[in-house]
Amino acid sequence: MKLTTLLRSDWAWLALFALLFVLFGPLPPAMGLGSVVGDFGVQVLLTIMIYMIFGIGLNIVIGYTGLLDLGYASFMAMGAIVVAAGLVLTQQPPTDPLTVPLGDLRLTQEQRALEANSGAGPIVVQYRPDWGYDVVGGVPAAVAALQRAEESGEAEPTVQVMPYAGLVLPVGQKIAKGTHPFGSTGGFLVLLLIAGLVCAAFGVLRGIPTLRLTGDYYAIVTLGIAEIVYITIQNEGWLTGGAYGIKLDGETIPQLFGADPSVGQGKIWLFNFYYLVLAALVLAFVFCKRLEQSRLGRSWAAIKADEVAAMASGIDVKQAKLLAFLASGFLGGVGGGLYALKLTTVTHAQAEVFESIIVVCFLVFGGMGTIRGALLGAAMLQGLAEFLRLLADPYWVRETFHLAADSELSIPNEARMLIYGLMLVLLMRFRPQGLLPPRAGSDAPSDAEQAAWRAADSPLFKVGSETA
Amino acid sequence: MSTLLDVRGLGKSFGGLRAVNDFSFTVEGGSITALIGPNGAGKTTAFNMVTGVIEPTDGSIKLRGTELRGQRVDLICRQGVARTFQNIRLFDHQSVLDNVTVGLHRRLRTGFLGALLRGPGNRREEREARLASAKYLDFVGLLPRANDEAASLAYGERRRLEIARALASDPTLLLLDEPAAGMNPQETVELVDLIRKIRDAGITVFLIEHDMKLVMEISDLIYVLNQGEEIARGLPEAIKNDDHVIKAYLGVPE
Repeated sequence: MKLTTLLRSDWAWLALFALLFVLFGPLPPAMGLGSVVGDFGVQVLLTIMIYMIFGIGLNIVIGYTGLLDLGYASFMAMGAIVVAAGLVLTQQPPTDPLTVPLGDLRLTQEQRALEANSGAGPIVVQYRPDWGYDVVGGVPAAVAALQRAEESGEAEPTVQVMPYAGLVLPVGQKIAKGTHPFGSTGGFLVLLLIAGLVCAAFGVLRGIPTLRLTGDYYAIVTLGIAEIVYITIQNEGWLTGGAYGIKLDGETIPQLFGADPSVGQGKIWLFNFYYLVLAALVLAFVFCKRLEQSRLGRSWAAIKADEVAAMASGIDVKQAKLLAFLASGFLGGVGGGLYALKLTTVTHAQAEVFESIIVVCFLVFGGMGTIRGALLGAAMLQGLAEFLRLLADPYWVRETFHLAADSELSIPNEARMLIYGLMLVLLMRFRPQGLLPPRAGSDAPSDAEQAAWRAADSPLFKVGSETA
Repeated sequence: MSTLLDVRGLGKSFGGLRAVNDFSFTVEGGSITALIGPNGAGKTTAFNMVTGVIEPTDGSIKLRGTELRGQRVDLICRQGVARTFQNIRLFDHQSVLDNVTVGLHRRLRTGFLGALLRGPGNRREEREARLASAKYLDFVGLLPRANDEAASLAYGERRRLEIARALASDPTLLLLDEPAAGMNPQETVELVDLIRKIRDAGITVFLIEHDMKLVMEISDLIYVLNQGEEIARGLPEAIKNDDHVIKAYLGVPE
């Protein structure tokens, strides 16, 4: 196959990137779970994969349908919040009490001074590796038990305690994670699907008032709605954790394919998560590719090229646009949900305008309207951003380039965005269509092909009452 | 022949400007009907109202008794009204074949989920759509250009592609807005043949045209608009010699 044909094939680019992700990703457990690029590199690759999903999703609205959406961060953030809040809010503390030597309980003077009040419920404790069991609730019962033990002279009294939701268990000790509907692989996938559907619904909802808008007007409205979402996330603390965000920890992060990060299987968990994200990326690609090459994809392209001509060809423009918002929102939600596990802390910062702009930049850089462009743009720009972050770290520069121990050489932190911006300016100057823009034409049909078409019988071909 | 399109009292005001005023006309099924008039007479406005692109201020537009006024453009297309545009509106960056396949839209069924699942029904439909698109291209003589980008076509070819796209929606009424504009004499001759071929296949043609030779040659009935008002209607011979028409086109001698 010719190189130019390969360069224009979305599948070839997907295969290339998938191969790179496998090569540089964490090695399978049998090979020690390490990675050529180190732990930091794996995190960067994860970020790139997730941003590729965002790029593919946003490309549906910007690249295919031709509507400049400047509010995609809303979807990315909402997906992350649905997953994070879903994990945290649905978690019930384990119901099985533990039996703990009473001597391990650490009670403060104030707690000891509290009047005994037996029957006040189970004691809630938190385990700290360096400290033992710390009483965080149900103190009166603990005091009562302690007093009973002192009075009866038991040598090593024990007490029944209730671990609370944030309980950190010592390595190797395993107890049930309590009832957690989304704590398993299947549960997490369901939650991810819910995140996608919520964002798809939001996409449609947001789309309805904007249906008549095109060009700059559409862009400004999406920007405005994104700001509303940003402020809402900041203020609705009951769901989003407000300015602090939602923190996922070992207890709330779901097990993936049997690996549980809270019991010292963090590396296996990361390996499983890495390949789950890669699988999601491939699925997002297939999802988008199938839509692109369908009747709906042709409708989107027609709307992008000429809305009036599209309508006059019988396309229900409003419906087609709403379906674009739906598909795009769905991918944003799913990508956001995966991002929540990668970040472990989800805050309103995910919904910032800058996040939207970055994904738009991927598309501009890679070439609007192609999946391969979205993939390449995400890889190059996200990769560049992470590389510049490293270059801003004097320690990393010193170690990597074997500089003198007292070297403080690095790029200033502020220069990162400057270089990022310069790249885009240069691209716009020398290749405004992006690196891999869509191409329509291909080789003319051969005479044999033409003859075959002419000879073939087609029920759909019909001019007036006469059929071919 | 029965009346296919029956328009009564059609009017459109743009602010203070009366673009079309009390224009009533009919298009007989199986005929070629022409709408002529000087620039700015309101011809394209009338077309746009019939196809729903702009909303009329007054009047009714009935296609075989069904009111089209107030309906969405795509729904009007679904009832068998297809059109081309004066300023050629192709999907420039898609292939020639894809342009025609878009025209097939209303006759295909695959929706969102169908596209994602890509079952056998969807695959068959896609195959048939490609084949039918190729045959429509062959009908207008563009099959060798099937894989080219639409923007790369020459002017006359672009006009024919637009006609192929319109035909793909399987219309009963085809509206052509200045199909011969910008064509050389040879291309115009081919166009006349194509329009006749379409009419002979049973599709009613309603066209706007400035090329009088073409209009006189193929029209069964001609309507003449000037400054939004109908000034004449009749057979080509009668229109050719109508004083009002000559005056509208050439002005009154001082």
